Amino acid sequence: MDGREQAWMEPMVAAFGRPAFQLAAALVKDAGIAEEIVQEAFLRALVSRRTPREMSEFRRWLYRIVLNLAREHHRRQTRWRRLRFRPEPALDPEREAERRIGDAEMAKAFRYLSPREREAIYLRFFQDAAYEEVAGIMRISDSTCRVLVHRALDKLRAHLTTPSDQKRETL
Amino acid sequence: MNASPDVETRLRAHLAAERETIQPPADLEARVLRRLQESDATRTGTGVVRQLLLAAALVLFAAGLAFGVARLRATTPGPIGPSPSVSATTTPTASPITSPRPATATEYADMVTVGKPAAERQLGIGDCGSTSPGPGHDCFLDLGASDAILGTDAGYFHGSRFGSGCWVYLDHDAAGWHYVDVRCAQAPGSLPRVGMDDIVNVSGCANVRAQPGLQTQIVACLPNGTTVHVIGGPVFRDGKLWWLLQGQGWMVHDSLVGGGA
Repeated sequence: MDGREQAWMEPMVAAFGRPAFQLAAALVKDAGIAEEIVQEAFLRALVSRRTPREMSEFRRWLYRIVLNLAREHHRRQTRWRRLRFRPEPALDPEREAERRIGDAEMAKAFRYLSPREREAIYLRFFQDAAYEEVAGIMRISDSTCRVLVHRALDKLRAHLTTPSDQKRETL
Repeated sequence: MNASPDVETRLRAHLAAERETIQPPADLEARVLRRLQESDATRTGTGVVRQLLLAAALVLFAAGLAFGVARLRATTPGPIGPSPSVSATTTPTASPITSPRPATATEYADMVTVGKPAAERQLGIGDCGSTSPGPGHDCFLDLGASDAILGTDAGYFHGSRFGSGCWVYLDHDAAGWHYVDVRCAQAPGSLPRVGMDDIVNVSGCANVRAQPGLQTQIVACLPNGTTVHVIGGPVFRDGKLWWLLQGQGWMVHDSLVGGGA
Protein backbone atom coordinates (compact mmCIF):
# COMPACT_ATOMS: atom_id res chain seq x y z
CA MET A 1 0.00 0.00 0.00
CA ASP A 2 1.66 3.23 -1.09
CA GLY A 3 1.11 6.66 0.48
CA ARG A 4 -1.69 7.61 -1.88
CA GLU A 5 -3.58 4.38 -1.21
CA GLN A 6 -3.04 4.82 2.52
CA ALA A 7 -4.47 8.35 2.39
CA TRP A 8 -7.51 6.91 0.63
CA MET A 9 -7.94 3.83 2.82
CA GLU A 10 -7.46 5.31 6.28
CA PRO A 11 -10.67 7.36 6.36
CA MET A 12 -12.57 4.42 4.86
CA VAL A 13 -11.32 2.06 7.57
CA ALA A 14 -12.13 4.68 10.22
CA ALA A 15 -15.64 5.20 8.86
CA PHE A 16 -16.69 1.68 7.94
CA GLY A 17 -14.44 -0.73 9.86
CA ARG A 18 -16.68 -1.00 12.90
CA PRO A 19 -20.08 -1.13 11.15
CA ALA A 20 -18.65 -3.73 8.77
CA PHE A 21 -17.38 -5.75 11.73
CA GLN A 22 -20.82 -5.61 13.38
CA LEU A 23 -22.49 -6.76 10.18
CA ALA A 24 -20.01 -9.59 9.72
CA ALA A 25 -20.29 -10.67 13.36
CA ALA A 26 -24.09 -10.65 13.14
CA LEU A 27 -23.95 -12.85 10.05
CA VAL A 28 -21.32 -15.38 11.16
CA LYS A 29 -21.79 -15.17 14.96
CA ASP A 30 -18.08 -15.33 15.64
CA ALA A 31 -15.93 -12.29 16.47
CA GLY A 32 -12.67 -13.85 15.24
CA ILE A 33 -14.11 -14.81 11.87
CA ALA A 34 -15.84 -11.43 11.63
CA GLU A 35 -12.49 -9.67 12.02
CA GLU A 36 -10.96 -11.93 9.37
CA ILE A 37 -13.83 -11.07 7.04
CA VAL A 38 -13.45 -7.33 7.62
CA GLN A 39 -9.69 -7.43 7.04
CA GLU A 40 -10.13 -9.51 3.89
CA ALA A 41 -12.90 -7.21 2.65
CA PHE A 42 -10.74 -4.10 2.95
CA LEU A 43 -7.87 -5.95 1.30
CA ARG A 44 -10.05 -6.95 -1.66
CA ALA A 45 -11.34 -3.38 -1.90
CA LEU A 46 -7.74 -2.12 -1.96
CA VAL A 47 -6.52 -4.42 -4.71
CA SER A 48 -9.53 -4.21 -6.99
CA ARG A 49 -9.41 -1.59 -9.72
CA ARG A 50 -13.19 -1.47 -9.75
CA THR A 51 -13.51 -0.31 -6.12
CA PRO A 52 -15.31 3.05 -6.05
CA ARG A 53 -13.51 5.97 -4.42
CA GLU A 54 -16.63 7.83 -3.38
CA MET A 55 -17.67 7.12 0.21
CA SER A 56 -21.24 5.92 -0.04
CA GLU A 57 -20.40 3.82 -3.10
CA PHE A 58 -17.36 2.46 -1.30
CA ARG A 59 -19.53 1.42 1.65
CA ARG A 60 -21.94 -0.37 -0.63
CA TRP A 61 -19.01 -2.13 -2.31
CA LEU A 62 -17.42 -3.07 1.03
CA TYR A 63 -20.65 -4.46 2.48
CA ARG A 64 -21.15 -6.47 -0.69
CA ILE A 65 -17.73 -8.06 -0.15
CA VAL A 66 -18.60 -8.70 3.50
CA LEU A 67 -21.82 -10.47 2.47
CA ASN A 68 -19.93 -12.58 -0.08
CA LEU A 69 -17.27 -13.56 2.45
CA ALA A 70 -19.91 -14.43 5.04
CA ARG A 71 -21.67 -16.59 2.42
CA GLU A 72 -18.35 -18.30 1.60
CA HIS A 73 -17.84 -18.96 5.28
CA HIS A 74 -21.28 -20.54 5.63
CA ARG A 75 -20.71 -22.66 2.51
CA ARG A 76 -17.37 -23.91 3.85
CA GLN A 77 -18.96 -24.70 7.22
CA THR A 78 -21.76 -26.67 5.59
CA ARG A 79 -19.37 -28.64 3.35
CA TRP A 80 -17.04 -29.35 6.25
CA ARG A 81 -19.83 -30.66 8.42
CA ARG A 82 -21.16 -32.84 5.63
CA LEU A 83 -17.75 -34.45 5.15
CA ARG A 84 -17.63 -35.19 8.89
CA PHE A 85 -13.87 -35.04 9.04
CA ARG A 86 -14.36 -33.58 12.45
CA PRO A 87 -17.23 -33.81 14.93
CA GLU A 88 -19.87 -31.15 15.22
CA PRO A 89 -18.64 -28.32 17.38
CA ALA A 90 -19.78 -28.69 20.96
CA LEU A 91 -21.02 -25.14 20.96
CA ASP A 92 -22.92 -24.03 17.87
CA PRO A 93 -22.25 -20.30 17.55
CA GLU A 94 -25.81 -19.65 16.39
CA ARG A 95 -27.32 -21.55 19.30
CA GLU A 96 -24.95 -19.74 21.61
CA ALA A 97 -26.12 -16.40 20.19
CA GLU A 98 -29.73 -17.43 20.77
CA ARG A 99 -28.94 -18.32 24.36
CA ARG A 100 -27.21 -15.05 25.09
CA ILE A 101 -29.65 -12.63 23.53
CA GLY A 102 -32.77 -11.49 25.35
CA ASP A 103 -35.53 -12.42 22.92
CA ALA A 104 -34.71 -16.12 22.52
CA GLU A 105 -37.95 -16.79 20.69
CA MET A 106 -37.10 -14.20 18.05
CA ALA A 107 -33.61 -15.66 17.71
CA LYS A 108 -35.10 -19.12 17.16
CA ALA A 109 -37.52 -17.75 14.60
CA PHE A 110 -34.50 -16.42 12.69
CA ARG A 111 -33.57 -20.02 11.86
CA TYR A 112 -36.57 -20.23 9.54
CA LEU A 113 -35.23 -17.43 7.36
CA SER A 114 -33.29 -18.14 4.20
CA PRO A 115 -29.72 -16.79 4.07
CA ARG A 116 -30.80 -14.03 1.71
CA GLU A 117 -33.74 -13.06 3.92
CA ARG A 118 -31.42 -12.96 6.91
CA GLU A 119 -28.98 -10.71 5.07
CA ALA A 120 -31.75 -8.35 4.05
CA ILE A 121 -33.09 -8.21 7.60
CA TYR A 122 -29.66 -7.47 9.05
CA LEU A 123 -28.93 -4.77 6.49
CA ARG A 124 -32.34 -3.14 6.90
CA PHE A 125 -32.87 -3.35 10.65
CA PHE A 126 -29.42 -3.98 12.12
CA GLN A 127 -27.47 -1.57 9.90
CA ASP A 128 -30.52 0.69 9.45
CA ALA A 129 -29.85 0.88 5.73
CA ALA A 130 -32.59 2.30 3.51
CA TYR A 131 -34.30 -0.15 1.14
CA GLU A 132 -32.47 1.35 -1.83
CA GLU A 133 -29.13 0.76 -0.09
CA VAL A 134 -30.02 -2.80 0.88
CA ALA A 135 -31.01 -3.44 -2.71
CA GLY A 136 -27.74 -1.94 -3.95
CA ILE A 137 -25.61 -4.00 -1.59
CA MET A 138 -27.45 -7.22 -2.41
CA ARG A 139 -27.57 -6.40 -6.13
CA ILE A 140 -31.30 -6.83 -6.35
CA SER A 141 -34.06 -4.48 -7.40
CA ASP A 142 -35.72 -2.19 -4.91
CA SER A 143 -39.02 -4.03 -5.18
CA THR A 144 -37.39 -7.46 -4.77
CA CYS A 145 -35.67 -6.12 -1.68
CA ARG A 146 -38.95 -4.92 -0.16
CA VAL A 147 -40.61 -8.25 -0.92
CA LEU A 148 -37.68 -10.11 0.63
CA VAL A 149 -37.83 -8.07 3.84
CA HIS A 150 -41.58 -8.33 4.19
CA ARG A 151 -41.58 -12.05 3.48
CA ALA A 152 -38.97 -12.42 6.21
CA LEU A 153 -41.07 -10.38 8.64
CA ASP A 154 -44.09 -12.54 7.85
CA LYS A 155 -42.03 -15.68 8.49
CA LEU A 156 -40.82 -14.32 11.80
CA ARG A 157 -44.35 -13.45 12.86
CA ALA A 158 -45.55 -16.93 11.93
CA HIS A 159 -42.94 -18.49 14.23
CA LEU A 160 -43.48 -16.24 17.23
CA THR A 161 -45.92 -17.69 19.69
CA THR A 162 -45.77 -15.02 22.38
CA PRO A 163 -48.28 -12.28 21.57
CA SER A 164 -46.41 -9.14 20.63
CA ASP A 165 -48.32 -6.94 23.07
CA GLN A 166 -47.33 -9.14 26.01
CA LYS A 167 -43.80 -9.35 24.72
CA ARG A 168 -43.45 -5.60 24.42
CA GLU A 169 -44.28 -5.14 28.08
CA THR A 170 -41.46 -7.43 29.07
CA LEU A 171 -38.83 -5.89 26.79
CA MET B 1 -45.09 -1.21 3.58
CA ASN B 2 -45.67 -2.23 7.17
CA ALA B 3 -47.15 -5.68 6.84
CA SER B 4 -45.82 -6.76 10.23
CA PRO B 5 -45.49 -3.69 12.44
CA ASP B 6 -45.61 -5.70 15.69
CA VAL B 7 -42.88 -8.03 14.51
CA GLU B 8 -40.82 -5.12 13.25
CA THR B 9 -40.82 -3.41 16.64
CA ARG B 10 -39.85 -6.60 18.37
CA LEU B 11 -37.22 -7.38 15.77
CA ARG B 12 -35.62 -3.94 16.16
CA ALA B 13 -35.43 -4.43 19.93
CA HIS B 14 -33.91 -7.87 19.45
CA LEU B 15 -31.31 -6.63 16.99
CA ALA B 16 -30.47 -3.66 19.22
CA ALA B 17 -29.76 -6.17 22.01
CA GLU B 18 -27.65 -8.23 19.63
CA ARG B 19 -25.72 -5.14 18.55
CA GLU B 20 -24.92 -4.46 22.20
CA THR B 21 -23.26 -7.85 22.48
CA ILE B 22 -21.01 -7.26 19.46
CA GLN B 23 -18.01 -5.26 20.52
CA PRO B 24 -15.34 -4.76 17.87
CA PRO B 25 -11.76 -4.93 19.17
CA ALA B 26 -10.62 -1.52 20.45
CA ASP B 27 -7.77 -1.42 17.93
CA LEU B 28 -9.74 -2.82 14.98
CA GLU B 29 -8.81 0.04 12.63
CA ALA B 30 -5.10 -0.31 13.44
CA ARG B 31 -5.27 -4.06 12.85
CA VAL B 32 -6.97 -3.67 9.51
CA LEU B 33 -4.47 -1.04 8.36
CA ARG B 34 -1.57 -3.22 9.54
CA ARG B 35 -2.95 -6.12 7.52
CA LEU B 36 -3.20 -3.90 4.45
CA GLN B 37 0.39 -2.74 4.94
CA GLU B 38 1.71 -6.25 5.55
CA SER B 39 -0.10 -7.74 2.58
CA ASP B 40 2.08 -5.65 0.26
CA ALA B 41 -1.04 -5.26 -1.81
CA THR B 42 -1.20 -2.94 -4.73
CA ARG B 43 -4.00 -2.45 -7.16
CA THR B 44 -4.04 -5.31 -9.63
CA GLY B 45 -1.01 -4.87 -11.90
CA THR B 46 -1.09 -5.68 -15.60
CA GLY B 47 2.50 -5.65 -16.77
CA VAL B 48 4.95 -2.88 -17.57
CA VAL B 49 4.42 -2.80 -21.34
CA ARG B 50 0.68 -2.62 -21.05
CA GLN B 51 0.91 0.13 -18.44
CA LEU B 52 3.27 2.14 -20.67
CA LEU B 53 0.90 1.79 -23.60
CA LEU B 54 -1.99 2.83 -21.39
CA ALA B 55 -0.05 5.88 -20.16
CA ALA B 56 0.79 6.89 -23.75
CA ALA B 57 -2.83 6.51 -24.78
CA LEU B 58 -3.94 8.63 -21.82
CA VAL B 59 -1.46 11.39 -22.71
CA LEU B 60 -2.71 11.46 -26.29
CA PHE B 61 -6.31 11.46 -25.15
CA ALA B 62 -5.70 14.29 -22.65
CA ALA B 63 -3.90 16.36 -25.26
CA GLY B 64 -6.75 15.87 -27.72
CA LEU B 65 -9.32 16.70 -25.07
CA ALA B 66 -7.47 19.86 -24.04
CA PHE B 67 -7.24 20.96 -27.67
CA GLY B 68 -10.92 20.28 -28.24
CA VAL B 69 -12.01 22.11 -25.08
CA ALA B 70 -9.81 25.10 -25.94
CA ARG B 71 -11.40 25.34 -29.39
CA LEU B 72 -14.89 24.94 -27.94
CA ARG B 73 -14.28 27.69 -25.37
CA ALA B 74 -12.90 29.99 -28.07
CA THR B 75 -16.07 29.65 -30.15
CA THR B 76 -19.06 28.98 -27.91
CA PRO B 77 -18.81 29.36 -24.12
CA GLY B 78 -20.97 26.48 -22.98
CA PRO B 79 -21.69 24.46 -19.86
CA ILE B 80 -18.35 22.86 -19.08
CA GLY B 81 -18.54 20.90 -15.83
CA PRO B 82 -15.77 21.69 -13.34
CA SER B 83 -13.82 18.95 -11.63
CA PRO B 84 -14.57 18.19 -7.97
CA SER B 85 -11.19 19.49 -6.88
CA VAL B 86 -11.62 22.96 -8.38
CA SER B 87 -11.10 25.63 -5.73
CA ALA B 88 -13.66 28.31 -5.11
CA THR B 89 -12.82 31.80 -6.20
CA THR B 90 -16.12 33.43 -5.43
CA THR B 91 -15.30 35.07 -2.12
CA PRO B 92 -11.81 36.06 -1.04
CA THR B 93 -12.48 34.82 2.49
CA ALA B 94 -14.21 31.57 1.45
CA SER B 95 -12.63 28.28 2.54
CA PRO B 96 -11.08 26.25 -0.27
CA ILE B 97 -13.39 23.50 -1.44
CA THR B 98 -12.42 20.16 0.00
CA SER B 99 -13.53 16.66 -0.91
CA PRO B 100 -16.31 15.22 1.24
CA ARG B 101 -15.03 13.15 4.14
CA PRO B 102 -16.55 11.23 7.08
CA ALA B 103 -17.17 13.26 10.22
CA THR B 104 -15.14 12.38 13.28
CA ALA B 105 -17.02 11.29 16.41
CA THR B 106 -16.63 14.77 17.90
CA GLU B 107 -17.77 16.52 14.75
CA TYR B 108 -20.75 14.17 14.50
CA ALA B 109 -21.70 14.82 18.14
CA ASP B 110 -21.54 18.59 17.51
CA MET B 111 -23.71 18.25 14.40
CA VAL B 112 -26.30 16.17 16.24
CA THR B 113 -26.43 18.59 19.18
CA VAL B 114 -27.49 21.38 16.82
CA GLY B 115 -29.26 19.48 14.06
CA LYS B 116 -31.36 16.94 15.92
CA PRO B 117 -33.58 19.25 18.02
CA ALA B 118 -34.09 21.54 15.01
CA ALA B 119 -34.97 18.60 12.77
CA GLU B 120 -37.43 17.30 15.37
CA ARG B 121 -39.07 20.73 15.51
CA GLN B 122 -39.35 20.89 11.72
CA LEU B 123 -40.79 17.37 11.53
CA GLY B 124 -43.07 17.90 14.54
CA ILE B 125 -41.88 14.76 16.31
CA GLY B 126 -39.83 14.06 19.41
CA ASP B 127 -36.62 12.22 20.18
CA CYS B 128 -36.80 8.41 20.18
CA GLY B 129 -34.50 8.18 23.19
CA SER B 130 -33.72 4.53 23.73
CA THR B 131 -36.67 3.35 21.61
CA SER B 132 -37.00 2.97 17.84
CA PRO B 133 -39.59 4.51 15.55
CA GLY B 134 -42.55 2.21 15.05
CA PRO B 135 -46.27 2.14 14.38
CA GLY B 136 -48.00 4.61 16.68
CA HIS B 137 -44.62 5.82 17.85
CA ASP B 138 -43.18 8.27 15.35
CA CYS B 139 -39.98 9.81 16.61
CA PHE B 140 -36.58 10.90 15.34
CA LEU B 141 -33.59 8.62 15.68
CA ASP B 142 -30.03 9.62 14.78
CA LEU B 143 -28.29 6.67 13.16
CA GLY B 144 -24.66 7.09 14.10
CA ALA B 145 -21.51 8.73 12.85
CA SER B 146 -20.79 6.28 10.03
CA ASP B 147 -23.01 8.14 7.54
CA ALA B 148 -22.15 11.67 8.66
CA ILE B 149 -20.28 13.56 5.94
CA LEU B 150 -18.47 16.88 6.02
CA GLY B 151 -18.07 19.04 2.94
CA THR B 152 -16.83 22.63 2.96
CA ASP B 153 -18.32 24.69 5.80
CA ALA B 154 -21.24 22.26 5.71
CA GLY B 155 -22.21 18.68 6.48
CA TYR B 156 -25.05 16.23 6.88
CA PHE B 157 -25.96 13.21 8.98
CA HIS B 158 -28.37 10.26 8.78
CA GLY B 159 -31.47 9.76 10.90
CA SER B 160 -34.82 8.06 10.60
CA ARG B 161 -38.44 8.46 11.52
CA PHE B 162 -41.18 5.87 11.26
CA GLY B 163 -41.33 4.60 7.71
CA SER B 164 -38.53 6.62 6.16
CA GLY B 165 -34.90 7.62 6.32
CA CYS B 166 -33.95 11.24 6.99
CA TRP B 167 -30.92 13.44 6.24
CA VAL B 168 -30.17 16.52 8.31
CA TYR B 169 -28.18 19.31 6.61
CA LEU B 170 -26.11 21.92 8.42
CA ASP B 171 -23.67 24.70 7.69
CA HIS B 172 -20.62 25.64 9.74
CA ASP B 173 -18.75 28.84 10.53
CA ALA B 174 -16.52 30.19 13.27
CA ALA B 175 -19.48 30.16 15.67
CA GLY B 176 -20.12 26.45 15.09
CA TRP B 177 -22.85 24.44 13.37
CA HIS B 178 -26.15 25.90 12.15
CA TYR B 179 -29.20 23.94 11.08
CA VAL B 180 -30.32 24.21 7.45
CA ASP B 181 -32.87 21.55 6.64
CA VAL B 182 -34.12 17.99 7.20
CA ARG B 183 -35.54 15.73 4.51
CA CYS B 184 -37.19 12.36 5.01
CA ALA B 185 -38.27 10.01 2.22
CA GLN B 186 -38.59 6.33 1.38
CA ALA B 187 -37.50 6.72 -2.22
CA PRO B 188 -34.47 8.56 -3.58
CA GLY B 189 -34.96 11.81 -5.44
CA SER B 190 -35.46 14.44 -2.77
CA LEU B 191 -32.46 13.82 -0.55
CA PRO B 192 -29.26 15.23 -2.02
CA ARG B 193 -26.11 13.48 -0.82
CA VAL B 194 -22.79 12.58 -2.27
CA GLY B 195 -22.72 9.59 -4.56
CA MET B 196 -26.47 9.42 -5.09
CA ASP B 197 -28.85 10.35 -7.89
CA ASP B 198 -31.27 13.15 -7.23
CA ILE B 199 -34.06 14.92 -9.10
CA VAL B 200 -34.22 18.63 -9.86
CA ASN B 201 -37.30 20.04 -8.16
CA VAL B 202 -38.19 23.55 -9.32
CA SER B 203 -40.85 25.34 -11.30
CA GLY B 204 -39.18 25.99 -14.64
CA CYS B 205 -35.46 25.27 -14.57
CA ALA B 206 -32.65 25.42 -12.02
CA ASN B 207 -29.37 27.22 -12.66
CA VAL B 208 -26.16 25.24 -12.81
CA ARG B 209 -23.11 27.33 -11.96
CA ALA B 210 -19.41 26.96 -12.68
CA GLN B 211 -18.65 27.50 -8.98
CA PRO B 212 -20.75 27.48 -5.81
CA GLY B 213 -22.11 30.96 -5.06
CA LEU B 214 -24.81 33.33 -6.28
CA GLN B 215 -22.47 35.57 -8.28
CA THR B 216 -20.72 32.85 -10.27
CA GLN B 217 -21.13 32.06 -13.95
CA ILE B 218 -24.33 30.25 -14.94
CA VAL B 219 -23.44 27.43 -17.31
CA ALA B 220 -26.78 25.68 -17.74
CA CYS B 221 -30.38 25.58 -16.59
CA LEU B 222 -31.77 22.11 -15.90
CA PRO B 223 -35.53 21.61 -16.22
CA ASN B 224 -37.69 20.32 -13.40
CA GLY B 225 -37.53 16.53 -13.09
CA THR B 226 -34.01 16.14 -14.50
CA THR B 227 -32.14 13.26 -12.84
CA VAL B 228 -28.66 14.31 -11.75
CA HIS B 229 -25.83 12.53 -9.97
CA VAL B 230 -24.31 14.30 -6.96
CA ILE B 231 -20.53 13.90 -6.77
CA GLY B 232 -19.45 16.68 -4.43
CA GLY B 233 -20.52 19.05 -1.67
CA PRO B 234 -22.12 20.20 0.40
CA VAL B 235 -20.42 23.59 0.21
CA PHE B 236 -21.82 26.58 2.09
CA ARG B 237 -21.55 29.82 0.08
CA ASP B 238 -23.62 33.03 0.06
CA GLY B 239 -25.97 31.68 2.70
CA LYS B 240 -26.81 28.53 0.73
CA LEU B 241 -25.74 24.91 0.45
CA TRP B 242 -24.40 23.82 -2.96
CA TRP B 243 -23.94 20.39 -4.52
CA LEU B 244 -21.64 19.42 -7.38
CA LEU B 245 -23.46 17.51 -10.12
CA GLN B 246 -21.60 15.09 -12.35
CA GLY B 247 -20.84 16.55 -15.77
CA GLN B 248 -22.80 19.72 -14.98
CA GLY B 249 -21.60 22.07 -12.24
CA TRP B 250 -22.94 23.39 -8.95
CA MET B 251 -26.59 23.60 -7.99
CA VAL B 252 -28.17 25.13 -4.93
CA HIS B 253 -29.61 22.75 -2.32
CA ASP B 254 -33.14 24.21 -2.50
CA SER B 255 -33.45 23.10 -6.14
CA LEU B 256 -32.56 19.51 -5.27
CA VAL B 257 -35.00 18.86 -2.45
CA GLY B 258 -38.57 17.92 -3.06
CA GLY B 259 -41.45 15.96 -1.67
CA GLY B 260 -42.64 16.10 1.90
CA ALA B 261 -40.23 16.32 4.81
